[in-house]
Amino acid sequence: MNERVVVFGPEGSLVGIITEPDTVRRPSLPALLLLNAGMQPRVGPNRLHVKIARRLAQRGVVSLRFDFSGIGDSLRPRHGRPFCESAVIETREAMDFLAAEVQPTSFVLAGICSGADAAQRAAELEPRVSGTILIDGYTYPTARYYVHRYALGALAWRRWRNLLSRDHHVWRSLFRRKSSDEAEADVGFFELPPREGAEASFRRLLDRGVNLCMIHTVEGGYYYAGQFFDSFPSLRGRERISVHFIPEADHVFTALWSQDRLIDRIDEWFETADWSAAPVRGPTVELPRPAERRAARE
Amino acid sequence: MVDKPSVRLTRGVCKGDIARRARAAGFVSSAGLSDACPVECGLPENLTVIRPFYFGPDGRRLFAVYHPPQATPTMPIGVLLCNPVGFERARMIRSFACLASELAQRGFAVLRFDYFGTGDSAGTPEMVDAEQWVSDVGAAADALRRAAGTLRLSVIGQRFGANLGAVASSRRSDIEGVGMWDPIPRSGDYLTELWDAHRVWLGREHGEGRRPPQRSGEVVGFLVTEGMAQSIERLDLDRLDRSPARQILIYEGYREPRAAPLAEYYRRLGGTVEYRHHPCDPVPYREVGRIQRPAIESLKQWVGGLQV
Repeated sequence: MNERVVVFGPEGSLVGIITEPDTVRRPSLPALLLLNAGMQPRVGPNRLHVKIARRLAQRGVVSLRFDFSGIGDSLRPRHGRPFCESAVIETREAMDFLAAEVQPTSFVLAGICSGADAAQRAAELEPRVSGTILIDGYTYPTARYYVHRYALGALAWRRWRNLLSRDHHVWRSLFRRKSSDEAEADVGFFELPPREGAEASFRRLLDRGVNLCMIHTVEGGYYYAGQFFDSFPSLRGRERISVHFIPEADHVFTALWSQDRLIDRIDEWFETADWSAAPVRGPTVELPRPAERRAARE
Repeated sequence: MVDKPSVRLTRGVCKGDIARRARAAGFVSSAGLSDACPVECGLPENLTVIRPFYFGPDGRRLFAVYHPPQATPTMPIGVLLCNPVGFERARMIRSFACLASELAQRGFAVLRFDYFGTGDSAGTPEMVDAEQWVSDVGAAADALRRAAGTLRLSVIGQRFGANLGAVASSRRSDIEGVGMWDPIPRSGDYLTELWDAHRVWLGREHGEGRRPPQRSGEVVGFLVTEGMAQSIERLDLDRLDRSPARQILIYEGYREPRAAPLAEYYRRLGGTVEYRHHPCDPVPYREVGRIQRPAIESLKQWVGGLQV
């Protein structure tokens, strides 16, 4: 396994690390792009991206982990677009760069949370993508979701034990001084699309022959195995979808066993997915410029 | 600077889930990424002013980012930044990147790097102990000297990075100043704090708060081996037999400071020691976007006053 630093993008403002196999690269396998999770730098939460890249290098997969502008070592954003658009632009710049470096047959885009959103958005617009790994990506409540979350949760003795533990966050939040810097949530750069829109997006990717790997945790809002297909019933029976539920893992896979489980799932998926179908070639879709977007809304 | 955000909901989505996921991923700014960076930090606009690279022998390659000076320096001193380790590293990345950029804009050559087995450097934590990390600090100092062509260096470390930087500096003769940001005077306390952090995390995630203390094992996403634990315990700052440098800054942001006796100890060893205490709220372990501006300003001011 070899790693080298790369600087790329039209203004040379993005920093990344390419991980390449020591010996034989498997040209039949796509190259992997690992996208930032929130504001976590390119190594990933708990160094996950590094571990994934190095594991897959053993399988002959080339990968690039990089920082979106304004995150990690990459420079401040320069195009004035919201993150959900700039992430797509920069993902495509990363693909352009890696294509010139290693000439992969196609790309897999992977990300956690907002990284999953960026991967999905970029995959929709980019015909070179043959697979996506969405970790705690799009999740939606279903009837069973509410049963698992509230009704069954109330019956779980562990939840009550947790609540009675002095380390439970409820007690700690009651007795600690609230920081003036403390924020709750910002979905300004991760806005969940309507369920119908997400379903249609997945269908379009599947129709193109893109392989989809979904990995979910409870902290990501996924409460039971089957929630994905209950959320998107039109996708039942479709090939090229792999859904995994790791209920005890947290959103950033803090526990070492959960990191191993996640990496194993990704490794297995790379090995077993059907990469023989070349991505459907078509015109590259451009994002509308800000002025065009405003005009479209008016 | 962190604003109070508003939460924009999408129909059919549970607000609580979105809030939890956003917190988990370290979202802090309502302005979004495109606005937070220029407002909070003097990050450079041109990537030619920073040079990421790998250095070191095959099998022990370390990742580093060099910030060449962007102005004529008042004092020819290079600055080496030593990260904290484990889960604390991610919380410091933005602050160290800002500190490095702003020092470079003032004319100082700066290097920040990842120890072996951390960040983008080679290796895994099982392959290394704290003494090897001290060696990594020395190797990074040499890399900075080669990159900057400067003979004199200063070292700034945060949390256990302060310990590593101070110990490494005490073994060299070319370190003019050592800045210790929230150092841990007794390294054994660091192990205790790690297990406490892990216990709190277990309590939040699984309600398993009451666990016996351990010497080695998993700590909030990272592995601390027995060898690492033993090597950590040997890096007490108050047992160095010489001052880490002639000029020392100890900066504490803890609400309950503990390093004032360390400042006295280094004064007895002949160091010129400045001690500053500016309590601030602790950064939650998953919050990676906060830039710790008061500490950055204090460290910049201290570096600017170093004498060669």
